[in-house]
Amino acid sequence: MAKQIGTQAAIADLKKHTLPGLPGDIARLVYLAATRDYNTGRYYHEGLSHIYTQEFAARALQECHNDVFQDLVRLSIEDLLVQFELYVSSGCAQADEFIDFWEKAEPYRVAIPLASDPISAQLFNSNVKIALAILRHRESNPRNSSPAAWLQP
Amino acid sequence: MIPALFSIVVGVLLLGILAYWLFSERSFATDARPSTAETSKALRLELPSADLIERVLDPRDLAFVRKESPTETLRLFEQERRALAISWLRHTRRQVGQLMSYHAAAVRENINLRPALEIKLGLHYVRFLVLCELILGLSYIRGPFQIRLMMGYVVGVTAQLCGVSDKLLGATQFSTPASAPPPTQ
Repeated sequence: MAKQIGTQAAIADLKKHTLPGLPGDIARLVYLAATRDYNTGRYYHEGLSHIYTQEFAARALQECHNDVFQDLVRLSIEDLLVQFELYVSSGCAQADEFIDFWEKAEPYRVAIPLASDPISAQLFNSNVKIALAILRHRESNPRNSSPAAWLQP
Repeated sequence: MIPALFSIVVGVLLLGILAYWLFSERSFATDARPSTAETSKALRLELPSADLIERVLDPRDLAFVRKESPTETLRLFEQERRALAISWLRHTRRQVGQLMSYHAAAVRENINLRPALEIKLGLHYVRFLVLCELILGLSYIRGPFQIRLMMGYVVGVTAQLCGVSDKLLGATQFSTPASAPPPTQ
């Protein structure tokens, strides 16, 4: 019971203070996946661990990671594109550079939570691949694209 | 007098043997029946959700990709969706296959068989397998978005199968696909 309360408090903290500051769900997914150790798969967040203990912080990060991922999986491709537009327009990279890197290195594959089922993971990878192809198309044909503003310098 | 007494003793002995035999059969049958925990464990097979296949084959995505992207992206999209639909179908078939194996093992030594329900379950399973094969074939011939309604039907048949198996195994805590809609045609 105490564990549940501790984890819930840490989740509430994350949802109130950290996650809203990030531009959209793609940014949140990347952020939460980055708190997971590449070698062990354990989640770690210094500030959160300091307040709620390492265990509660890790559980909270894991749960938020799962939630954000599930939200993204259920988005239509059109809405996923909006999330990508938000992410790129936040200045994380130049659009063409971002698309190149995400298409070649496919970093989104390591952003998937371990707990996700294989079909959801496959659907997410597929949707990202299609969204990137559409972004690439929009970039090379700015006149044909509907919300092209995000790609303009 | 002696022959009458002898007959009574033999009769009592026979009744005793019969009672022992019946009792041991009953307890054996009870042991053979899966416990609720076993059933739940067996059925925590994680049938892929109906929502997920609806999301995969959402026609709004097709319309959007058709409108927003060149032909090669549309082709890639259709290939991806076909692969996803097939993965979903194979995963469901594997899980239902496991459920049927579990069911067969559980009822094999159970004397309280309910033939009508067993036949119903068998028919549902055959229908399910035929549908799966049909859909797999059609997904290559007609494309993934043309099999959308049939996928809904598979979800319905899967739910029926789980329901019948649930009744037969006598466990009520089974988790059938939560959001399984009724079969659509």
